[in-house]
Amino acid sequence: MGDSQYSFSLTTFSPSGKLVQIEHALTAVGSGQTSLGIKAANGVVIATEKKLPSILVDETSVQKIQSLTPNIGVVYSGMGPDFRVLVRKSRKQAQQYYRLYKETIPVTQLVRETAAVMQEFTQSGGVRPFGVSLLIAGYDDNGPQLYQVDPSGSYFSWKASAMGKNVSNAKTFLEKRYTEDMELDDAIHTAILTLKEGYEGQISANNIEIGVIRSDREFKVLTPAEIKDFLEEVE
Amino acid sequence: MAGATDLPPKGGFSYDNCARNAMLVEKGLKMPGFLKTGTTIVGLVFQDGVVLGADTRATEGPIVADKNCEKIHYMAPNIYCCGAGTAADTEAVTDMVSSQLQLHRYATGRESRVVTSLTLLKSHLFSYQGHVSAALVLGGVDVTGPHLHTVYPHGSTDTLPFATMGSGSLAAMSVFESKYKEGLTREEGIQLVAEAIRGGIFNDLGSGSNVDVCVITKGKTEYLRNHQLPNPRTYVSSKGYNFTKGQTVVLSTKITQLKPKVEVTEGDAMEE
Amino acid sequence: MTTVQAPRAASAGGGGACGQREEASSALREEASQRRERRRTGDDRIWWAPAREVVFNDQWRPLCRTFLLSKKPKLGLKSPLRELLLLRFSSSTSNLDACIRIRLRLRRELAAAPAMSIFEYNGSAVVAMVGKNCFAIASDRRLGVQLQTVATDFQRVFKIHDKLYIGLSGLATDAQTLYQRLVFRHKLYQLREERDMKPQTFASLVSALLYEKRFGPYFCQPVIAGLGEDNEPFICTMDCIGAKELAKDFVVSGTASESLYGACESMYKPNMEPEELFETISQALQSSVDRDCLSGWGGFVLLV
Repeated sequence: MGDSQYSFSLTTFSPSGKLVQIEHALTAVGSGQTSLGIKAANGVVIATEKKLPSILVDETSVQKIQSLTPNIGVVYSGMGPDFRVLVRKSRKQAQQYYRLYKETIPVTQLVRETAAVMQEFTQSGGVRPFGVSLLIAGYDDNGPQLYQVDPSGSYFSWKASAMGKNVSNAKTFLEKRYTEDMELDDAIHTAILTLKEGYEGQISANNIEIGVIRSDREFKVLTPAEIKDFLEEVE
Repeated sequence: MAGATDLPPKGGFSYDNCARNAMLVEKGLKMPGFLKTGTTIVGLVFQDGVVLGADTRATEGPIVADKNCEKIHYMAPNIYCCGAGTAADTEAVTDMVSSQLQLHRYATGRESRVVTSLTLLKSHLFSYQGHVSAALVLGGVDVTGPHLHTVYPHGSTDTLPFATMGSGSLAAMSVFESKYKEGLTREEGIQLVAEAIRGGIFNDLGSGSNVDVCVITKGKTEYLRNHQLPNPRTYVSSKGYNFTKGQTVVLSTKITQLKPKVEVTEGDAMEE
Repeated sequence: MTTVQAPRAASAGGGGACGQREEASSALREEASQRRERRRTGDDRIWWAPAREVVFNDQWRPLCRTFLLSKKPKLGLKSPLRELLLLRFSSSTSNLDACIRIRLRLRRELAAAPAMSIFEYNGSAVVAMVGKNCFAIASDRRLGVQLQTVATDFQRVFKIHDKLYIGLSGLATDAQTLYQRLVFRHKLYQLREERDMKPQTFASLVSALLYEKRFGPYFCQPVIAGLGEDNEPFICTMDCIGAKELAKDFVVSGTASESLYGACESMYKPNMEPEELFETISQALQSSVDRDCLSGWGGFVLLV
């Protein structure tokens, strides 16, 4: 009982002042696969583990890190299908901005628009909140940036953050390792080590994904071969 | 205007002013002309790709409004499009389709195909029944090879080994008809395209100024802006006009000091 | 008297006894049907008869006005000529020949005078030039209604922010509406993004707003001038549906654009210092508006 009787409609507050559906969405995120991001002095790295339900699944067909614009990339923890919807909406938003101003959308604006969509789904009828948290990494006139957007539609700028399973461990690990003047390569190493910490089993080039953006403002998802090089450096 | 909030358009045209403008026309005022691209635009297929070419004159009635405008528009990294007709229409329609292609590339993770952009263009133009007056030469190289198409304002299209469009199309076509052959090399292709454009520049009054060329081959695109400058400015006086200070009678002068921008050192964008 | 024949009309009005409104209007109707009949049979020599019918009777002058107004669009009369017509009519005597002469003259004038473009309704001249790390934008100050001057302190150059200005030539009402919409959009942008718009970005916005009304345009040709990043000057103009035209030297628009093209083409030099730029743009503007009857009455120059 308690809050449960107020969870029938997500637009209804429980007496304790919570929107229970959003809490549930956060739980969905919390049980999702770990993702993390680190903002370095000269770029941003986002990474995630890519655990598949069966070894029979072709792992090359799964892409958890996506780019939204040439200079902005995103990764999620939580429900894959919800993520796809958000990615589609965000890309469209970015294109709309570009067509109006003939200028690529700044990271803050895209984050704000994406968060606005997520918020709308906490206050509309007949819908449920998105079961994902996003880490958005970009590089624009304001330098490298890393944002986390939650199902409630709130967003924060982070120096380094993690989400999904093992959040607390990963965050403690990042807090220990993070330094202000970190270079991007260091950040990639740290990202790999953090993933490795919480990973059940052996990490390899095929079961993690890494996306990087440097000062050339080109967001790239690393190929398994490139990840392998970094893995070797870490060991 | 849609209510008090005049928010960014979600796309599509607005017909708010149409009734008023029709009234003005009824009253005997004339609708203004739009910026046109007069134009000679051409394209041809050579042995390993496509060459597109355009002149650089924009006209407004008999006035040359822009002596060096760009008529070869970006559609995708491997597809470009020359536009003739109303300048705003060619610009808008190619921008819109290139945006759709970009989204399509994100969704599919593959290189755009020329036919995709062709279909998007013609379906848009057809739905406006020729009122969006864009005549295009679309060229590109995709996974199925080099392609060249022409698109008419009403939405019909042709697939051709060599094509010309715009007011100078006849002059340019005469060059192609007499000199085009299959399996041209890259250099021959560029030369022939430039010659065709020059045919338009010198024989059609709607076209003029310079030659722009774009060469698209598998995995490589070269945009040769102002490839040839056959009409250099020859009438500049070396000294120019000199006006001594204070020649103009001034009624009043107001000087406003521009405020230096306040810099926020620590941007701390938190939850809104 | 139910049938009003043309020769008898004057005496009917003068008689006074048949001055009832009903009768006159039924006479009008009768006349109209007769006219239709005449036109059908190809005999339309005196098809303007109803005008004569009412005009001659002073009592019906207001009716005459309405009649002519409603008639006007079909005839394509322009307003000054219509006034002329009314004036002549109201002061006219029963001289039919005079009426015919006016009508014939009107027809001649209408055939001779080309229709006026909407751009030319108010008249304007706007020009922008680039100098060395500076730009200037200038406009005339006349607001006219066709050939009549209404105001001589009209503002056509508007400030968007400290380093960005827009000059709107063309129809004054649209210029002001467009300016209001642009300021609104720019303020929203400022609040949302916590920065001023770059001139290039602003130009794209203007272009998008204009193109949105592709099939019912604002009759404005904007000239945008501003300083971009690193105080790099930027100028551009576009047509009334948003086809951008970027230039490195100068841009012009308005009814005086043709003479401005000529003046700027010969007077402009690259890399002018601010003082020289001011003189050049002022002289170009002044000499151009002197050759354009629709713009003038002084100028407004803004130098950044």
